Amino acid sequence: MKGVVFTEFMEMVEDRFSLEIAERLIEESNLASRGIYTSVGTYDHQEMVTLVTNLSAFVGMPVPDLLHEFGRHLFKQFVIKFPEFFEKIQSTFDFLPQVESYVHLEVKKLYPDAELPTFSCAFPSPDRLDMTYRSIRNLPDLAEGLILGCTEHFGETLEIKRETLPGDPPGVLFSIISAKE
Amino acid sequence: MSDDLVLLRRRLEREKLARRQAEQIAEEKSRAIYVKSRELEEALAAESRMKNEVELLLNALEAFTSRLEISEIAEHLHRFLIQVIPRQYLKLYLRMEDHFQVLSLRENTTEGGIPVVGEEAAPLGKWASFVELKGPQVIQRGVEEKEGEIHGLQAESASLLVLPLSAPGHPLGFITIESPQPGSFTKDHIRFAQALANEAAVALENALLFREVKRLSLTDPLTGLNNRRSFDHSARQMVGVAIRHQRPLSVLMLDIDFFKKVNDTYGHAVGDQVLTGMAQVCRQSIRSTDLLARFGGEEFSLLFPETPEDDARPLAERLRQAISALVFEAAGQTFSITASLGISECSGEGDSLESLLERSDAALYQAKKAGRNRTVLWGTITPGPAADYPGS
Repeated sequence: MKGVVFTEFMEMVEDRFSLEIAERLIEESNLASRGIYTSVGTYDHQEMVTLVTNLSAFVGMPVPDLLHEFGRHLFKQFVIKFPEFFEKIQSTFDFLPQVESYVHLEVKKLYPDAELPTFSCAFPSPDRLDMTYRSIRNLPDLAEGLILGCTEHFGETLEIKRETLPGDPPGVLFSIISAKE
Repeated sequence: MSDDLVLLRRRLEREKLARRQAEQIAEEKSRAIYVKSRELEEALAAESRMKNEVELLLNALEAFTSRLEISEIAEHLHRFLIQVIPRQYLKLYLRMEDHFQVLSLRENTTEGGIPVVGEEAAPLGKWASFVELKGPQVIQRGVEEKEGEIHGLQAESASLLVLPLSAPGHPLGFITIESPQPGSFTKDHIRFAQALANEAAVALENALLFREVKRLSLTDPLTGLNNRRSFDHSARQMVGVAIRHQRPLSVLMLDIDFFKKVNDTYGHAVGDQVLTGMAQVCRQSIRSTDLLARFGGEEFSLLFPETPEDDARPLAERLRQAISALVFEAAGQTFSITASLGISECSGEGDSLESLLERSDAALYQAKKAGRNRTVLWGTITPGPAADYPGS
């Protein structure tokens, strides 16, 4: 998993909770990396699972809620870090289909070893985007948080429905529906 | 120390380590980028080289197509090769029936880059095997070269590139390129040189065919002498020059006596032998500036420039005697032949080749009439009624 996800996660822990919790989290998680993350590095994604699980226990928040929140935080940071991906993009429906066809392509150029999730998109109707998420990391809550972050960025209120699909790894179908005016 | 300070210190320590890690990763990345950029640079250079080569090849192709002279094609080949392989010495070996025709070209630094062309015949010798070469071959002096194996390698040459010259279907010969630097032929050089050689081969084949057609159209196939057409062409020019410069010139007509009898007695194959033998004697008897042709049938014509009738006469007599000294063998018998000769001299302004031939023919008629096996000068005969002489 790319280092930027870890550094952003730790930032979020410090900001949202406290420096103390962040330190405790690292100390008690017994990480191979010892919690020394840099955005340009690559780390075992299992460390993220450990961190989220432990954080959930420390702060008494369910894991899915934490991942939602992290997803929203991460999206905000992506907008700041990679403004070029958002040029001429006006809405969630503009942006999300680009993730697979453009963003991930560019990420692959920078990090040929990155193992990225797939987001295949379809528009069954003009007001509905079906996005199928599949990842060997299987973090659909994080994906949902990112989608939420995206709608918030564009100031939209969209309904997000979620349905688990069979397969290995299992997929999750997000149906993003714009409310009828 | 307060708890917060301890936390901050720990965090700072982690940050430091993270920074070091990031620096290391950045270092590795930038090194990888550097390597990649070098690769790209090289690829780009190779591509631009290739583009140049393609352009050169296209220009070469254009230059080759319009050439029918072998030396011109060789010059073009050298001109294009030198743009890729500098300081080279080029030799073109064209396989003839029993020898190589060799053209040598070398950059001429004193005369504005015009290559020096040397042309010579060389025995097939050890080079012969190179004709069958299927692809380019590099020979380094002292490495692949066995002692004394490479004939004619320049003293200053350290490596030799041999390229087969092959037209579709059959080998024409090969090209050798010598370079003063050992190991100076790169893969790209060789590839380009071979591509150029292939283009040259097509042009060379055309030139060889053209030369052959030209030769055939001007040569009598049996004797290898000029035919009447080529005699007329050259003789007309020579007569023109003689008249313009008021120089003497003589024309001789020669006819074998009773040639029909040779054919009837011994057959046409023997007749052909007689003609071939005759041609050989004639060829040996004339001077290098004289013109000789089989005029038709058993008739031969000769033209002596810078030669008045009186000086042509001893030449003719010597020739007549040489002919009568020839001995042929057929059907277990030996026989010899004689010939009659007529000579006329160019009379200057108003004279023509046609008229000269007519007068020589009249003199020849007189020689026949007077008993054959003799030479008659047109200037010595008295005008009389023209009549055919029987039996030839």
